[in-house]
Amino acid sequence: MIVPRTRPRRPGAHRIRLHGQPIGAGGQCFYCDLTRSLMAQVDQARSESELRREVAELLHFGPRRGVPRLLERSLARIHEPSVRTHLATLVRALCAQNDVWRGEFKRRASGEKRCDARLREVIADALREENSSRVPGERVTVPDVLRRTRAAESTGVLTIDDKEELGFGPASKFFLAKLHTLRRQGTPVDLAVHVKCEIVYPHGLAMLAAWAERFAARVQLAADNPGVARYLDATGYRQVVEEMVTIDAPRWDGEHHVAITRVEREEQAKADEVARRVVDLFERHLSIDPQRDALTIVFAELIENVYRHARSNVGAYVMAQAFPTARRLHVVVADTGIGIYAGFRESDLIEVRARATDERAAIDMALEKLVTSKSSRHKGYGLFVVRELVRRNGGRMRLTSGRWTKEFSGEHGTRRRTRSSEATWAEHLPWNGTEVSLIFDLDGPLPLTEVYRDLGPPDHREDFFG
Amino acid sequence: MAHVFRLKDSPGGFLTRREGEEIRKLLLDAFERTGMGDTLSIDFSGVHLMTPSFADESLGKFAERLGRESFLTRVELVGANETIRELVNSILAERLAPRDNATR
Repeated sequence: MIVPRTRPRRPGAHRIRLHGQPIGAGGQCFYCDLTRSLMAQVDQARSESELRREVAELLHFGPRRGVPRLLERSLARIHEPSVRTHLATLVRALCAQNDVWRGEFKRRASGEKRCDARLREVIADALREENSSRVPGERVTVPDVLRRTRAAESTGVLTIDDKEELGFGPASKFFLAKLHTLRRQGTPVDLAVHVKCEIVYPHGLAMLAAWAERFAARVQLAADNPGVARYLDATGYRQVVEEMVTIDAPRWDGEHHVAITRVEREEQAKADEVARRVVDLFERHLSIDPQRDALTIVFAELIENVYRHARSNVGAYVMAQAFPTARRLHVVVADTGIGIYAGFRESDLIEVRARATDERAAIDMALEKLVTSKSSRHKGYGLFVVRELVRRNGGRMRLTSGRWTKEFSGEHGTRRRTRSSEATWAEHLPWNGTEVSLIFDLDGPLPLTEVYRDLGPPDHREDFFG
Repeated sequence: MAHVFRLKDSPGGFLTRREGEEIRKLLLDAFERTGMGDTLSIDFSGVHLMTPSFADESLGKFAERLGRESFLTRVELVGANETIRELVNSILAERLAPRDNATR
């Protein structure tokens, strides 16, 4: 629901300032829609404190402004257990917030105010449960209600509506927001994942696997599209995520994909193997043999960089998928480690800590050459090389850590750029860790020699070979 | 007299820092065995693939340990393809260039 700010705010009054898609429209889950609308608000919010104010305003929102009307828009799916659960949760949470809400819902439950019969039933059940759990004089807070609900239901629902939530587009922010929201509802969470889209991309899938390992107790996957369901089975993804096992990934590789592979810091050999498997995938779709070296370098550096710096006790997830018709190769490495900013803040180098003033600065530093969180005898090249190859290939690169994502789009050609003019930033709810996603143009160049030539100091070129 | 160290004959690959660290130890041992006035020839023949991390950990730190003067006079690099040559030159230029303490 869009509530335009057409009137000035009265002292003491609160308004919903939600923008974007109407809540509850299209028969979608109210809670998902609420999340989506809040996430649209995230685009506007300049800080987390502002976002908290937005959410607090929603919960304080006066009944005349129509949260009950918002609830009514979920009626198309009110028969679904998860929707009823979410609606009941919202009713109880709002009742716990203040008695004005309670009164409004009681009037709807009693028929005193007009209300759809199906929603009235949900409200009545929620009120009965709320009343039975209340201790006279007890101050019940919204978090209390949510905790009780999660303890009772212990299931979070993640709906993936749009393939772009798993890809590079702006909708991927909604996906991060959904994960963040689920985590805030209690850890660990039993998670039901409902994939409604017809294509899935490895970027979001790898992030989901990493997230689930760390924050989910159990996961169940369901896909509406038979092709997606087969893909999740054939790539071993379902087994990895639902059963929390480490599969013998190479056996699950296919002509167009590298199966999701978990890489741990102690398993260097596996990390090297993953790099070679991704190269094999690329080679199956490339006709130019010299590209192989460049790709091996890219993936080896990428995987080494992520797993080496993550300091995660849950490992990193690697996944790759070729799209032969579109002539694209997607690769992702995702972990739930400490993230780039924290990594730099813990550096033993004073100058590194001083430069890492915030998450954006840290991401920029990670993409430079020679910057590393490690000791002064250790120089970092990995992400810089990856970035340069992707840029010259005409592909795309996305680096996500914490609340920020930086994305590059490259272009063909040999013209060097000292600064990328194609980089964009996006802020979102936090991703606890680091994610590097790449999209290669299978028909684009990978000028590894040229990139290596640019690694040295620009004002000091020397040939050390006799 | 030149002592030859063939990278291709070394154990492991040429991708990771861990592998680079092992090579660096072998290089240092080989260099220690050369006498005064002798040179150590590092032969890249047969190696067509190397990451910057490996090159920095192996050759970069090896050169830095020796120092520029010693490295230039007592170490010889041969047999590299164009890609590895560019890589090694960049790595060594960085390690052997005058140090800027601000950010490196």
